[in-house]
Amino acid sequence: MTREDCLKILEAYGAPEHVKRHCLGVGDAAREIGFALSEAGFRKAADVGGGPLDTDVIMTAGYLHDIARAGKDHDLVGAEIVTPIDAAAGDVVARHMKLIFPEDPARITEADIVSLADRTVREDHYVGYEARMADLLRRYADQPEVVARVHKNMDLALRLIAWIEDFCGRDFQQIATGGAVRIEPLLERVERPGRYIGGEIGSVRKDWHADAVRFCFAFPDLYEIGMSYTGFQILYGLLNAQPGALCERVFAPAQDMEKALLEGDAPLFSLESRQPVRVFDVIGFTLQYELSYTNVVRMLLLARVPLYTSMRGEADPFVIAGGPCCANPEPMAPFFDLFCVGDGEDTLLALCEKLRLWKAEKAAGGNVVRADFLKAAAEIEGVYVPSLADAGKQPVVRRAVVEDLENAFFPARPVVPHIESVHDRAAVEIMRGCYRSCRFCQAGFACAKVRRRSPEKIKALLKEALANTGYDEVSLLSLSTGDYPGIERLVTDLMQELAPMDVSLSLPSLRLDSLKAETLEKIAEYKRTSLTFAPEAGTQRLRDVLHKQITEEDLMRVLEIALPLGFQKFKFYFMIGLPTETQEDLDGIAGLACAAIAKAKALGAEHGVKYNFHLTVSVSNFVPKPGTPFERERGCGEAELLEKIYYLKEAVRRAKGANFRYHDTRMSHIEMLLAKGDRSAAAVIERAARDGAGFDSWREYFDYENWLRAFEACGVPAEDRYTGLDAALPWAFIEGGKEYGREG
Amino acid sequence: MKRCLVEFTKTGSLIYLSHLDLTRLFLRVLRMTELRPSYSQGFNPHPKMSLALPLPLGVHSVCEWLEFETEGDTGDDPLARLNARFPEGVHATRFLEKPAGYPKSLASYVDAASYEILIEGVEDAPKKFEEFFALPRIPLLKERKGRASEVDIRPQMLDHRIVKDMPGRLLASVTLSAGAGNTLNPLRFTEALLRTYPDLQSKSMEGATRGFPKSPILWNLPGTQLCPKAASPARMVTRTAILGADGNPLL
Ligand code: SF4
Repeated sequence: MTREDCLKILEAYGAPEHVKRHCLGVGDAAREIGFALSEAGFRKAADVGGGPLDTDVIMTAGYLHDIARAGKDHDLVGAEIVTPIDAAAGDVVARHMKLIFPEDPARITEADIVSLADRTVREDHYVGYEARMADLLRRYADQPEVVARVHKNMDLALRLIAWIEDFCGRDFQQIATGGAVRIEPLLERVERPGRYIGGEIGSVRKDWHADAVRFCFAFPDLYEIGMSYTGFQILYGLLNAQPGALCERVFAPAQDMEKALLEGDAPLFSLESRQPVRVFDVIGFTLQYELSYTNVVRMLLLARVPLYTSMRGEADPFVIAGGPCCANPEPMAPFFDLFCVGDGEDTLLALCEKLRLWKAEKAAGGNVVRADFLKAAAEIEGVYVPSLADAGKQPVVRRAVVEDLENAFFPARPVVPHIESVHDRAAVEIMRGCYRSCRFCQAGFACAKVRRRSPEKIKALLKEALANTGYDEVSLLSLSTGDYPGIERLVTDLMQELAPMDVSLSLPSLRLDSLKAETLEKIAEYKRTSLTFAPEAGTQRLRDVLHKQITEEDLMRVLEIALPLGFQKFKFYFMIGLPTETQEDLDGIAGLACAAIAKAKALGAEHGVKYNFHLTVSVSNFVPKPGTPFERERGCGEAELLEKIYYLKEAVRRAKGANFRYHDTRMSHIEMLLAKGDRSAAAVIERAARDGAGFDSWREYFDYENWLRAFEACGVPAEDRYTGLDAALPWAFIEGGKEYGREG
Repeated sequence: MKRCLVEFTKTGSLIYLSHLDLTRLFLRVLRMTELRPSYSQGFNPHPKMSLALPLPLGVHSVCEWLEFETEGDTGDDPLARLNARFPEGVHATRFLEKPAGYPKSLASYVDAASYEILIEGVEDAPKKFEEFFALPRIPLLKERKGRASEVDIRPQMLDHRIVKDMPGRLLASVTLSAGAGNTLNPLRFTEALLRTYPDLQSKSMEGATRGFPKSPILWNLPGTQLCPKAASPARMVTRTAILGADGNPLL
């Protein structure tokens, strides 16, 4: 009987809520004790059956032991219910109230284990034998026979507990709780406990004791950020679909939870089993942006995993990383046992297989150590093992590529976040890679090949995801959705099919220049959200340098179509601090805003109406990224960027009628230093994190001065040191995706 | 158009979901089970569904109500279909179509809710509990928009009963005002109780786990007549939370 089966039986018999909870609590504890003894090699004495403990009987009896609690003689009535399901378990239920523990602890049976669990669990959580007996003695103070039995059992029980601890080599509380962290006292102290409870629609909780590689997926930012990241949904689903693997999750705890963990002396735990993260075989971080690096350090500290690869021992988990930041793994290399460069799907499966073999050999008493696994892992395409890299002689690490997106795994049952997240919608990845090659874009250069899913597959996946999540919004994901061949057709089809189900379609990263008028019309029919446009630079000259194929005419043409359709809000995205940028290019940004405003007026005059036209000019700071043709360009200093922004702010203000948004220059500066850093950056990251840095991508938590102090303390200059054609790039051994003639 | 009611219990970790998040969870599950709620019109359509009484975070419930409107057919055994989709912790106990003649929303019928409170670790808790209810005035600080003012919560404490008096543990039931701008949050009630009798608080801290004060456990129980199945005899309460216009239980 599984836990779920037993829960159904309890429900069918109308067991009250508190009884159900108690049964589950006792069953869980009994099961953990049973497993711990079995794992430690316990065999029953011959005259009580011999052989290993029957964990099935323990579970069934534990989960159902109080099924008849609401009535009289609940042990006997309960046994009558349980016996037809499992006779041995029925026998345990019949005896659970009056059982006397054996004189010789080595003679324990399933019944003793269930009874012992029952005597250590109050309501649904472990409180220990002494606390429970105190409850009983107070409650039955007026019933001498109960008091006598409790007293008689007490010595035997304590001896039994001591023996089990000895046999398993662990503390009894540890054994009975399966080492899981009790999170309720922590939850009471935080503002949004929903971030930490797990058990969402679509979440998977596999049997912790199954023979599987235990993988903990770690996202170094808040739950609501990480849950919206499709890459996680893919890998979580993929790993849990493997019989030999189990994947759970952990996110960066918010400050209040971090404080609760430290004060409560509790380690960072996984959402599913609430196991300490450090007991997993692998902790896999995703590195999506450089400003999450300090959160990785904080999470490892909270998890109580040795921070540096060099400090980890045989009992520690492997800490690995994937994600776009692996284009330059060096700043984080000392923290990670290995990196997965490129698409993660195949690499992770291969890693799990090698780890399974390594674990099996180790379990069989083989003479294997961590380094053996790392050596084996290094053979997998896309894997970089920093500890094996000879300074300067690291062979090229090739990027792993999923060639066939059509048939690649995509989760039909994504996890639906408990609390409102950045994107609450079903998403399907329609294309991977980008046809364009904007020279600043890391994602665009990550892979030369563009891979697509067919419209039929996309529709089927969306339908399945909708049926399994109940979402009322769907989204098509890719780097540049407008470039998907036949996007107009796909969008119109989907809108038609989804509208009757009250499902709407959202289209991020739609390139307006390539969009046909009919598609805009279709979108306008039921949603008039803002339209965004990313010329990136203010003059055609600089746009050509960037390979950004957008012209002023494109932009004006979109206004001509969109304004009469009723769209009112427009956003233009630009970058500053770009290579070869001059004053003229900055003026060009304000110029484009002016032209757009004038165009809206002229169109109004032409059509005899006054269009509502809200324009936002949003400016971000160029950060040269490894793996792009601009990787050797110099990243601007903080003061330089700020000067440009002040200039622009004034220029756009003069254009009248446009909002101006800009990005924090200090954050961009640190992002640049981390993106282009070498191994010396690791010490800086650790220093900054220990001095309080965390959630650096959140403006309210970012502390620039702290970062500068950390650079200074570590003796690392806070400037871009890898510029110009003859710089030896620290990340040169990571294969570029698209060719752009990297030298050296 | 049908107006449907779902009676449900909420236990386990899901008691830590906020009212808003729980509503969103229900929306997803209703949509998954083809009990799609109707949507309002306009550019920002929202589903027509609501909970009768939002509970504070961390409170278990053995009887809560959800109502929603749906255009379609409710199909076979909606209760079982819902339960097949709910995550562990939420369990539907009844599914009803709202009887005609009750045009108002369920929330507008709620005027009180009952809770069970467990206080651990003190011997004279029952006496103190009775004393507390004998107080004519119970002032509590209330903060609104950064300014603190004092409110008297005594008028919102409608009824109380000692359910079980065990040595060192007290299980009591209280009925507090709820609904339409006159809700006494049960956590505020315990705050006032523990503030008035600091030794209740300090003693219950002895049961602390991992260094944290342990807060009393609360069960929400709106109305016995509403949930005869879910409530065990020990959990009976004296006041019906949701009454019809004629003073009789609505359901
Ligand atoms: S900026 Fe967009 S369009 Fe250009 S290469 Fe990157 S992903 Fe592709």
